[in-house]
Amino acid sequence: MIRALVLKELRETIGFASIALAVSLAIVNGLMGRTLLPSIDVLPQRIHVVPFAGGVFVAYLSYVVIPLAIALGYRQATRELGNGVYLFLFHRPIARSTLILTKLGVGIAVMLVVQAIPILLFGWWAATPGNHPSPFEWSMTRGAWQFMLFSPIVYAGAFLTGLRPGRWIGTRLLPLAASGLYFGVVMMVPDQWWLRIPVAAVFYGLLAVDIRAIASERDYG
Amino acid sequence: MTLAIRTESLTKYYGSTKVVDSLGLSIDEGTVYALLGRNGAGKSTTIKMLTGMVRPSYGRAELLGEDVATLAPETRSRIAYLAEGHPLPSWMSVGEVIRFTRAFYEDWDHDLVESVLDHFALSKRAKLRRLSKGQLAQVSLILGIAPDPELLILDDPTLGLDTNVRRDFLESMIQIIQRRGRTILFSSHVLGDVERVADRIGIMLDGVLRVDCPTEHFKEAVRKIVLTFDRDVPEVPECPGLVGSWHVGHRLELIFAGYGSEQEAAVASLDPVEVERVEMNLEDTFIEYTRGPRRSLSFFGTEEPDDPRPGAQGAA
Repeated sequence: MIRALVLKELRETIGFASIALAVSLAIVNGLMGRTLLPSIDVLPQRIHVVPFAGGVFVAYLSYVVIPLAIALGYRQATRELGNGVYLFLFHRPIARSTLILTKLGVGIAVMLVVQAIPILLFGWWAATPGNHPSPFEWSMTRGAWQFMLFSPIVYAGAFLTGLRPGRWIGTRLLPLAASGLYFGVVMMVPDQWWLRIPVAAVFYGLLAVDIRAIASERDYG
Repeated sequence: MTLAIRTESLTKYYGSTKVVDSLGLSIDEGTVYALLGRNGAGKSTTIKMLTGMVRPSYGRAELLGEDVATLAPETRSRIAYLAEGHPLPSWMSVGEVIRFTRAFYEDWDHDLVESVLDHFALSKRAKLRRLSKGQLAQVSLILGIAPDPELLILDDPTLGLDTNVRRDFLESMIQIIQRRGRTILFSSHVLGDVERVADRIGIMLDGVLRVDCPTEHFKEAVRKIVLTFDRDVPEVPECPGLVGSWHVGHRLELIFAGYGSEQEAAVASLDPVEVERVEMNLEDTFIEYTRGPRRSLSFFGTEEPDDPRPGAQGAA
């Protein structure tokens, strides 16, 4: 039954994911001097800096990933509230928390895949001799991987915002605002893995617990 | 007899509005129970509380002997719930939604699914978003009955369906009923349908369950008495069971829930020139019982309410 749920969620998120991935790849194509698709000229031309250095790649990636996180999270939570399909889903013989956490898991997986592919592609290009005149080591991609690991916090905040039965848009947006603030702070502070990862894990945990509780307690229909 | 559904003081507030008020309902296994009421009477909210989709403000509910608040997946697999409007993932095809739903159940009557699909002439390749309301209801019914549930809860399943589709749907439902020991709770606006299939009815008025009795009992208990006078219509005296009264010219219509010697004496005391007992089907009975003081909003202004006593208790 989990497989059926995962396939359903993948089918429902593939539209957003495909668009985001296409735009990310177009960005990477631009950063690589349009070596992949010469005719695609919608995004930055090749930037003559060291690949992954100075946060340029992450900055471009964030233009795609942050809107994806917000749209995907909110859409996944509200789609079935709007059309009443939660009434169908929640009557299946499966714990409501399992169903919601599966949704969340698929959403996070989509977020990770959509970012991992361009990071790997750009990294592979940067690691290939003759492509650019600057040194490269895979450890230089650490900032991009960190961005990938922490950005689902914004997704989870958007999901919680969609699920939360707030009466006023200001209070409904609180989880998204808190997640965005937290994500911003995490990405800005100096590289302290020993501190970032446990704090992020706690934040993820709090969001997951809150999402699970709200999904169990709110009214549907 | 074992109870399939039991509620105790089930109450729901939306803000300060009490939508369902201290509902106490007991439905035996094997009963076909119709929950009736006008729009906004609290039927859908009651059904959503029974299925755990809405949390009660107070009170509790049990399905198949288990508290709804902690209903185990195994118990839920023995219960079918068809929500109002038959919400299903619209991007799926009929075949996909069947495969998706089947993944959740250990018991799944594949042959029944195939035969009902064939009966309704539904193609597995048809996309749900392209189906009519009637066909969506048919798909919902298939998904509901395939796991061979012991209890079916249907929230206005024939809402918006045309007469033919409704009849077909109901006949399928009757076939399910004929299987041993199945309990069905359904809400409906179509009283003709209820009369055909329900053993017992409950009527909700403004969130309160006013009637809970066998269908025939209700039809027999609610009486419409039309009195004709050769003078102005007199004041209607206090009388137990009097649900409503309206007068048009020299005619007075009285609706009683339970008509016995006490009510007969009250009618006689008015000294009419003619007393007529009007035969009513379930629809008429329901309308007369529930129309309440709103009937005074007549288009022609020829009818005036006479103390309709909306708080009068029901026929049960």
